[in-house]
Parts: sequence; C-alpha cells; structure tokens
Amino acid sequence: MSRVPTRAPRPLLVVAVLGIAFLALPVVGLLQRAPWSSLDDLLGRRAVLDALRVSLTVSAIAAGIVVVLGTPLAWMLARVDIPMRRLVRALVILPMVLPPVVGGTALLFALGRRGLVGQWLDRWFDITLPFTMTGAVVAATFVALPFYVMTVEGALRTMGDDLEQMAGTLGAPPLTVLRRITLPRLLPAMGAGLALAWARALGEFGATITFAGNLPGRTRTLPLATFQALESDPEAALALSLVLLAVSLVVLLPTRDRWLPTR
Amino acid sequence: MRPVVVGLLTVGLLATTSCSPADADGNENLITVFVASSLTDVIGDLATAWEAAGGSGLVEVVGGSNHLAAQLRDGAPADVFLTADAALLDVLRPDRIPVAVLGQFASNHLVAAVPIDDPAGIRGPADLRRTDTILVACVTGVPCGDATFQRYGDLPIDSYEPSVRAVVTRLALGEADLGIVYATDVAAEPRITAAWDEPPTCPCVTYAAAAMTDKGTKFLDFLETDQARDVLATHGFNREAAPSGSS
Amino acid sequence: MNTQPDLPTGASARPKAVDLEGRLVRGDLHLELTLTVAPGEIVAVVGPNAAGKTTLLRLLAGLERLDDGLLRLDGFTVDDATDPGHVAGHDRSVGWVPQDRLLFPHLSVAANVGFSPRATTRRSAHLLDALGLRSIAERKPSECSGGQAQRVAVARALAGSPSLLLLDEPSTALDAESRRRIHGLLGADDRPATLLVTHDPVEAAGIADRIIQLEAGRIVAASAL
Repeated sequence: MSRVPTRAPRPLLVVAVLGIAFLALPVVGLLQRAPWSSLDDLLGRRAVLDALRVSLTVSAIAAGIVVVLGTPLAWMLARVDIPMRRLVRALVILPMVLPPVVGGTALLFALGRRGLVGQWLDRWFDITLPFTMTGAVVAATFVALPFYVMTVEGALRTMGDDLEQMAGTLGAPPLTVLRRITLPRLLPAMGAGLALAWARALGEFGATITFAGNLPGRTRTLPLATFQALESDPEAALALSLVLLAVSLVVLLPTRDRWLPTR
Repeated sequence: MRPVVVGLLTVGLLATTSCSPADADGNENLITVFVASSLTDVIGDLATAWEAAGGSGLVEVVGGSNHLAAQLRDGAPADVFLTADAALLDVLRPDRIPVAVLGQFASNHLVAAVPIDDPAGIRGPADLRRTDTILVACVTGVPCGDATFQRYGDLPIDSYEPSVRAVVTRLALGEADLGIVYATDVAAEPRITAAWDEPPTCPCVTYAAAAMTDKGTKFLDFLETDQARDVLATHGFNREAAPSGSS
Repeated sequence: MNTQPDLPTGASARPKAVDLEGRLVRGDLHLELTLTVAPGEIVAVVGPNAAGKTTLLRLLAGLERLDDGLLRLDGFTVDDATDPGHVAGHDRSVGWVPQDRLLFPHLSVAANVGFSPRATTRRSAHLLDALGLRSIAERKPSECSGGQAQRVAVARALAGSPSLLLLDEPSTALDAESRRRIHGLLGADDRPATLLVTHDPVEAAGIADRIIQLEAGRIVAASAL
C-alpha cells in the first residue's frame, strides 16, 4: 500500500543534499586514491590480515558484551523508576562524549596494573588487562555501549508498556512477559543498536591505543594499523582504510531503516 | 535580540581572526615552531631564553616528527621544524623546501628505563629479552623507534607506542616494567629511572632544525648560541655542534 | 507484604460469584462499592465521558493503584492504599478487555487467544469457534477488521477462565455481526461475572442485568433491570 509522498520544501532538500555531499566526499576521496592495481598484494600482507583478524575478533566480542550488558541497562532506564535516573543516563552517555583517549586514560586509571580495581585484579587473580586483546575488548566495549543502550532505551520508551500490562492481566509472570512480548518486539531496535555499537567498536582508536597498547596480532586493530601506516607506508594505509570501510559497510547496511515498532 | 546576536557573531569573528597564530603574512611578532615530541620538556626553556635574547614570541606545536613532517608537506604553516630525524627533511621535498638547515644541533641517546620502584627487578641488558615482563618501546617509523630497532634489534615488545612520551607515561604510571626512552626523559621524569648504568652510546637520535621561512632563520642562529647550548645541556641533551648551512 | 493465599484461578472450576467491596479513591473517582456479581450476570457501568468508568475497571484489573481507600475481591484485600505490597493484576483471575483491545501485534490470532498461562488448548479452541475466529486464526491482528479484533480480545480474556470479566466499551464502532456474536457469547452459560462499561444506555438496557450509573467519579444510581 503506497501513499503519495510528502512534498518536501526545496530549501530543505538542498541543505540535505549538501549534508550528503559532506559525508560522501571523504569516502570518495579515499576510493579515488586507492591503489586498486596493487590491492591484491597489499591486502595479502601479513600486517593487514593480522589487523583484520584482531579487529573482527575484538569488535565481535565487544558487540556481544554490549548486548548482554546493555539490554538490561536500557530496560532499567526505560521502565524502572530508579533514583537519580538522570545521573545514570549521563553516565551511560559519557563514553560517547569523552574524547576516546581520555576514556582510555580513565580506563587505565581504573583497570590498569596500578589502577583502582586493576591492582587487585593483578594481585589476586594475576589478571592484566592492558597490552592484551581482552584490554582491547574492554576499550571497545566502553565506547560502544552507549550507542546500544540509547537505541534500545529509545525504542522501549516509544513502545510503551501497555502490551506488557495486558500480558500481566492475562496471568503471565514477568519473565514470560519479557520473553514473549517485550523481546520479540524489541528485536529490530536491538539489531539496529547492535549494528551501531559494532561499527563504533570497529572504528575505535584512542581508547584502544591508550589502554590496550599497540601490538601486531594482539591489540593492533585496523584503525591502529592505519594510523601507524600513514607515515611510513601510505599505500598500505589506504588499503587498510578500504578494508575498514568495507567491513563497516557490511555491518551497517543490513540495518533496517525503521526499527521502532508501529502499533 | 537580533542585534545582540549579530553583535556577538561579529565580535566572535574578529576575535578569531586576530588570534590566529603567526603565518607568513600574519602577526609578525610570533614564530611557529614544530617540535619533535622528545623536545617537549626543553622547548619551554628554549623559548624563554630565545625571548630573553630578544626574540619574538614563540608558538610551539608538538608532535611525532613523522606526523609533523606530513603536516608540513601538506602545507601547515610553520617557521621552524625541529625534527628528531634529519631524513624527514627529504620528505618535505619538493613541496616545501627549507630555507636553511641546521643539522645535528643536539643529540639524545637511548636509555632503558624502569618505573622508580622497579617492579620487575631489572638488572641488566639481558632482562630486555625476558618474556615475563611488560616491555614497551616506540613504534618503528618514528625516530626513537627506528633508533631502538637499530640498537637492539628484535625485542619481545608488548606495545609499540606512537611516541616516546607515551612510553614514558606507561613507565611513569607503572603500567610497564621496562621501556626504551631517551636520556632526556629519564632526566625530566622523576617517576622513572635508568634501568642500568651504561655510558651513552650511539646509534642515537640527532636533532636537526630547518627554517621553513626567513623569519625562522633567526631561530636557527639562536640555536647555535651559548645560551641555547646551556639550556639543551641542562636537560640532558648532548651537544653536537655543526655549522649551519642551506639544504 | 501481602501474605494471603492466592486467589483461586478457576481454571477448571465453574464460574463463581464475585464480591467487590471497598472504598475506592483514585483521581476524580470517589465511590463506595458493595457489589456481588453472580456468575453469568452482566452489570453495566454507564455514564458520560470522564465519569471514571475506565478507571474503575483498571482498578479492578490491578493496573492502577488506589490513592486512598481499600478494595476487596472475594474477601481478599487486593489493594490497600496504606500498604505498598499488593496482589498484582495477574493473581486476580480477572479478564480485562480495554477499549483499544491491546492485541499482541506480533502474534497470530490463535496465539493471542491462547496466550494466558491459564488458558487450556480446549478452551482456546472452543472460543475461537464460538466467536467465529477459526477462519482467521493464523492472521495477525493488523490484518483483522475492528469487529474481528474485538472478538479476539474477548476470546483472549475468556480463555483463562477468569472469575471476573471486565469489558470497556466492547461494542463501540463494531459491525452488527461482531456485536451479535459478542452479545451471543455473553449470553452463554459458562460466562463469568461480567462488568461492562458502555456509554450507550440502549446497549446497557439490552444486555445487562443491572446498571450502575457513574457521574464525575461517583455512583449516582444503581438498579436492577
């Protein structure tokens, strides 16, 4: 069933097109300078494959943690009457607005070997986070979590809890309501949030290099490798950028353009 | 309301235009100096001495030498470039050719350093090969990283830091056990200390200064004076005198 | 904390009379309630808009809490304004059909009807047939007409064999067929005690056994028909 599309005012369209051009221009620049002829050779290099493997592993694990941690958090923010909700939400948004390097430094002070909690991890469990892939996962999770929580919380608020109330009057206990009513309707928003968070985790640089360090095969993700390659080997940097662009598109394109449920 | 907004915008615009750092046709009283990150601690004192000697105000931009070279090549405005790697000056050609070059006005040798409390109990060069310690060094491609590799070859490094300052920070915070830094860093940072005693050896890092504009040549002249040399020595740099010349 | 035993769910029992009793204060609603509704009896609650009819139903269903007063269902205190812990909606064995029905959009008609944990397969199937929903059993609510959706909502509420059925404007904007079917079902033998909110006095007169009239949150008249 299609309807006659709204007629957009001309000035709005012009500005919107400018916006698209602004966003597309760097990508076009990248594609235009890419060393297409030597791409095969560049992409086959150990350094590139290592960075790709690290990036995919770290971002995938981080994305998983984000969903597990973020869904209850989003639910709590949207549905539970918690004290200081504003403060909690500000805390959730914080990694989004902090410069990533600051975030990484903060993580260091908290979870580094001499950190607030980190020193106990080191002393009691012999767990060190910096300079490990786990550390890279921590950094990526830290910066990506807000994207997921904000998306899912927004969806929960829009959805409202009328249907959950109805399910309650029909005798369904809270977990059943969650499982049969809330989660199935939340799935599209969860998917969208996951895609955003995953893309953010993929692109993470500042917090990773500050907290987890930079070691090929272990913590050197595609962004770190690209940064390093920029000065010494610009062609490799371009190739790495293309890989990162391609992986990001694969993650983002499947996102539905509408993830809020209609009633 | 409207006039207020217009007025604020105008004031804002004027403020930004008049506060821009010096470029060739800007405020003549400032010179912009691109400074290799390992010179961070000394540039302040150099600037003070420069002004005491009658020089104009100095705006410093600190970064990894490679990074700064790349920016200069792409057209960043600067009067002087202090680099930890003279070879980078070739990178600038043919887009930017220095007006004058002072090669080797100072040098810095590498030192293995540990946090002040030496958590891993480092005793000597053999400990560099230990795998149970966290070893950090500069990434190859930056001057200190290249020098590290030249001197020690392959090491079990746990993190290749983008600059020597990052290595120093890791050690100062106690996040790493051992790191390769400059002698000047050990002198400047109280939370780290040399891992073992050894005389300064090269291969080491030598600094070159390039004047990118005519204004900059005055700074190069200053670098050869006794005041400048004293400042450098105080911070731990070895002085390598070399006559200035054009590239 | 409420330590009273669970109310009987009536899953396999015959419908029973329901005692509603209490002093209910919520927003503009102020009323003293002493009402016993026999199984199968329909009590119509009539009144103009904003008279408090929907609020009354929601309070009975456990979706809203009293600002003041007390509500007892069959002798059990289910809501006490002075006691924070109270029996939640799902323990009250109440079937609630709101005006906007609130069908689960992602579940089929059959899944909606059978949703309640108290619903048996046999009862759900019986209701699907009785309300003429068998032919659309696999459709989603968005594909149903207004009348069909209303029937689904009623079937869903009845599937769990509630002791008390609450209907909020069930026949508003319905086609004649749907209206007939619902009224037909409400005339069946094993229907529970029913409270029906309507603004249409003709409907009330046609189907109800008793009428309670609300105006501005207060009972102004109550009579048997």
